Amino acid sequence: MSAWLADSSGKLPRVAIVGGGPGGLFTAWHLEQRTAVPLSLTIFEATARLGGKVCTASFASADIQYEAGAAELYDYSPVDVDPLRELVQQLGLPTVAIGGSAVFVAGRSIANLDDLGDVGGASARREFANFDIRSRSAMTPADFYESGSDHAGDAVAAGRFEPALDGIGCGKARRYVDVMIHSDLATEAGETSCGYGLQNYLMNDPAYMQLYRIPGGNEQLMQAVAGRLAADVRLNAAVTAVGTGPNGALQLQFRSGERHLVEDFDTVILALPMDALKRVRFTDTALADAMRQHVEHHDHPAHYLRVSVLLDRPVPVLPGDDAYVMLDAFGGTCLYVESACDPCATNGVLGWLIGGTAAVEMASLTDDALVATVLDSLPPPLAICRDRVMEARVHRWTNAVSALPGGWSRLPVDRRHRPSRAHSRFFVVGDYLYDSTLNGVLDSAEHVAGWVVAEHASGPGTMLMDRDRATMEALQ
Amino acid sequence: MIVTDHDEPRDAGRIPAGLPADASLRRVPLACNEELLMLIVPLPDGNDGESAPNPVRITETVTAWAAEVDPRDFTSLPVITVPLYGCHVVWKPGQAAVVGPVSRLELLTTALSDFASCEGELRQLEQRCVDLVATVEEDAPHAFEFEGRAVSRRGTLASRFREAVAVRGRLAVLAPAAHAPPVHPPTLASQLGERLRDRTRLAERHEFAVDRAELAERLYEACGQRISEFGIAQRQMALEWAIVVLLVIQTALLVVDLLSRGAAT
Amino acid sequence: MSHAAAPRQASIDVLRAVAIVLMVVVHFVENLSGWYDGGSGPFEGVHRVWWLPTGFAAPIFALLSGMSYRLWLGVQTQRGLSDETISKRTVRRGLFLIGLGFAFNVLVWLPEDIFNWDILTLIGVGLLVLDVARRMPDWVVGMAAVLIIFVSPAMRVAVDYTAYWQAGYFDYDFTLTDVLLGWLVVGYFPIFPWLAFPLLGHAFAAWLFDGNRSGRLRHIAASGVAGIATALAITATWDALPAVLTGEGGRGWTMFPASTAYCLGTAGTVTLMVAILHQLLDGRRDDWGWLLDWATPLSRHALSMYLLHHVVHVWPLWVWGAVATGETTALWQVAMPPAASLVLAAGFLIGAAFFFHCVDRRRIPSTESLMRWLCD
Repeated sequence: MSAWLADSSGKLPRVAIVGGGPGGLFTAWHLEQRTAVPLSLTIFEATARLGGKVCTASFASADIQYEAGAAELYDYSPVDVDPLRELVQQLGLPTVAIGGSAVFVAGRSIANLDDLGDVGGASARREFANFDIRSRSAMTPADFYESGSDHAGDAVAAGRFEPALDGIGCGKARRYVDVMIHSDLATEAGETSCGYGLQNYLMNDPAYMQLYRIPGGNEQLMQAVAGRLAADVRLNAAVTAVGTGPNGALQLQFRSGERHLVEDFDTVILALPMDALKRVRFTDTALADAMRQHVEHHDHPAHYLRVSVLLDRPVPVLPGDDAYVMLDAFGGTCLYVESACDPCATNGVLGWLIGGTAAVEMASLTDDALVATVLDSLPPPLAICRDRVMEARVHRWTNAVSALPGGWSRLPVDRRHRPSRAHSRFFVVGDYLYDSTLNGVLDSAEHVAGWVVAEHASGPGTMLMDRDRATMEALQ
Repeated sequence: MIVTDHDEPRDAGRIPAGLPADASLRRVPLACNEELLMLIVPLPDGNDGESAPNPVRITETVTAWAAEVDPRDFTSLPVITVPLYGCHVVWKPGQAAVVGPVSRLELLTTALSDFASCEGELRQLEQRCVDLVATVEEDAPHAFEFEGRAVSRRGTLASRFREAVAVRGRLAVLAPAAHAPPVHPPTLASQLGERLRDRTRLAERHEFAVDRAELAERLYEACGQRISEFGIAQRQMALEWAIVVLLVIQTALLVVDLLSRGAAT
Repeated sequence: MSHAAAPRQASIDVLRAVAIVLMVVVHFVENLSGWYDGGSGPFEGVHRVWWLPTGFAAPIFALLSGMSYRLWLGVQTQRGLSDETISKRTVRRGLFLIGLGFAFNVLVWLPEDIFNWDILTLIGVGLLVLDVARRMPDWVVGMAAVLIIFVSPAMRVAVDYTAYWQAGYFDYDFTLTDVLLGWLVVGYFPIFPWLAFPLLGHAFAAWLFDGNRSGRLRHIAASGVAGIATALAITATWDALPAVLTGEGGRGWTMFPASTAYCLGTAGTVTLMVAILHQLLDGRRDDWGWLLDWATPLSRHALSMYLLHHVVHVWPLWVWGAVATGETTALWQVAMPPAASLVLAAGFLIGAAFFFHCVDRRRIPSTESLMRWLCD
């Protein structure tokens, strides 16, 4: 038994994970997978369900599912090892590749360079091709893959994305690119970095990344992870404050039903989205200062709006077996034909992903008004679906993601995850630290889990890694 | 399928009824020494097909034209249909139809010809692989141990090795086309080529063919080595036996000489 | 005297049947009428030319025994028999034939003729040697055969061959030296040079029956022609050749002793005939049904024929002589004129053909089946 376990208290190391979303579940998964010593693991989730933004819901009028949150997963395996893809395979979940080629601008489909040439002439084609070359020159697939790591190039991330878009000399080509990436960015080009903007453009190139989904719902991934955890999961337990207890341990204050409780932990990991993180109170002054700086650095809210409609019959098949099309409505919207991958579907399911400013503005509309508005945006091949709606659902994800993951200047990975040096067992995990993707949050969770496991294995009070890092930072 | 004396082969060289008047048939020679019969149906420019005259009926008609099977043609493969935004392509080995705006037809027919050449060559190589693999079981013992009675098969094994290497070589030449990564940004031609490759499982078929050719190549290469070793061993053994024969005859002469001396005394 | 079974080659059947006919004729005429080629010059007189083919019977048997062994080996290998089993069967068959040869000499002739070294003992020894030779490359076997033919005259000179032959018959003392020399050099069918025939047959069978037929056929025919040409050349230049090459015998073409010209000439002729018959008959049994219906039973029962024809004409001769004169051998070679013995030979052949046809049809045990039962 290690020195840590031979502590005078005789208790197992207590680890608290705050947040039952992807970050929290992935962190717990990696901790349980990697630890060589038993841990007492507790997950606090403020709501009644686990999974966070990975949410697969069902319609009321028919037992048919739709994606209310993340519609797709990203596959980086064409470039290098993809831990998320491997996890999905390890959990035995089926996958299906999805794609979409068409961007509808003014009712006209642009599915390739030839279409763009038809719509905007040779200049549009040329300007777009030049932009594409510039983008790919600025960020290779390897740069794309390493974008969240310490050794990622900084040059790409410098500056805002808007000037890069303004470099497209033809308005129609510019509009085409805008529409193509707007819903993925979930913000406006002026609000994000050049690097993040380029990532969201280059993700359309199969050499950089491919998309897939899990038939039956992406939430199965979260359920599969949660189902394999031995951790103590506490639902409807909202953590309200974090501080330091009298014995030096980290202290969590949380609400469980009507009760307000306090519990001490050796290690605390906050795996919360930014808006939830801002609601947590830090009672320790040093920790509060550190977290204020952390939030200030990473708080760049981006917004989503998901509208899903159930149709009384299957949706007409899109050319090229596309699973989605991009629309120029609402500044650039992605319309998923969610039933496209199911040849036995009895009903059609369409899902709009509205992002950025439009999502904020439209979030205030009533559900009925929202549904009516989005139905007006249906492109010609799907226009006939307008009169076939059986039911519609709206999910508002305002402030749910980051418009600038990692902030304007990227911090070292360790610093991102441990905001306060004085609190060596306090960590944060989140997609906003990497690239606002599930892959990013898995990387974040894996990093923290590895750190925690290493420190627990080395015994109480032994901070070799911490000291080494501090020394290196001082030298730099 | 039962073929009666009254069945007549279908006349694939006729434009089906119900298509626009400017629809045409073209016989395109392919690089794989086959011919592609291409039905070209132009639509008016400037639309996505939705406003074209009965686009649905046209695509149904050309699909039915391609799907119609000659009752004497037992090798017909399923028809592949590729809907594109504003265009529609139907393909099966030896036959294809293209429906689209006039300005896109040249792009589509060129892409289709390129794909058909690649697919045709792969199909021919697949057949050669099948023929090769059929002999593998028969020849496998020779890869482990080559016996004297198999000497007469040396020429056959050598020709099969040459065939395996030739097929492997052709497959290697074909590999870039079969495994070409998706082009980005896509063009209409690249989209058509990629989708046809996907639907005909060209990459997987190529890999399977490579596996088979490699199997045959490995086998016959091993056979070649065994034959070479056998030849060397035979030459060495022949020399040894020749020496043995000479020694035995010399001994016989000696014995006879000794016996004759004994008889004389 | 074949011991081989399927695959039956029509060419071998026909050629062996021809050998049987020649053998029966020569033995009937010699033993009953005393008329044979015992002169002192090559091809002297018309009767010698007429009699010449009878000297081919033994070479045909010996050469075909090598060929048949090769075919038999192929069958055994195809049946999956191990090398060890094949060797055991070969050795048992060889010893069976040697034993049968000794018994034959004693029972048909006289006890003192036991070490005459007849054709049966030659083929038996040939089988023992072939069990080793089958492991050799074919060209080495051929080379061994040629060497045997060419060293034989020197051996005959060394042992004074003529001293062992009195009035045209092998005459030896019951000493180990004479018995061994008889087996090696001076007997009726000594292994020098007669072993060359089974070896040549074995080597040629590899060419003839394995692999590409037409190309090799030409080579075999050419070898046959080369053998005949060499034999003629030796005969023509006989007087100019040194004794170490011609050996004892005094003529270019003699069967006893088997001169170099005789060996090469008969081997070449038989080889050429095999090549021609192979081209004509093999694989076309249906076209030659009548011929094969007659030849196959004789060929299949060649060993039985060898034994039977001796018993049929020699034993009555002994009995007749003993009854008529009180001397067993009194009528030997003087019993009847050649024409009568020829008629008897023909009658025997026709009767034997019918007889063995019945044996095959009714599956009656024969010497061949006895050999298979004992040895396989």
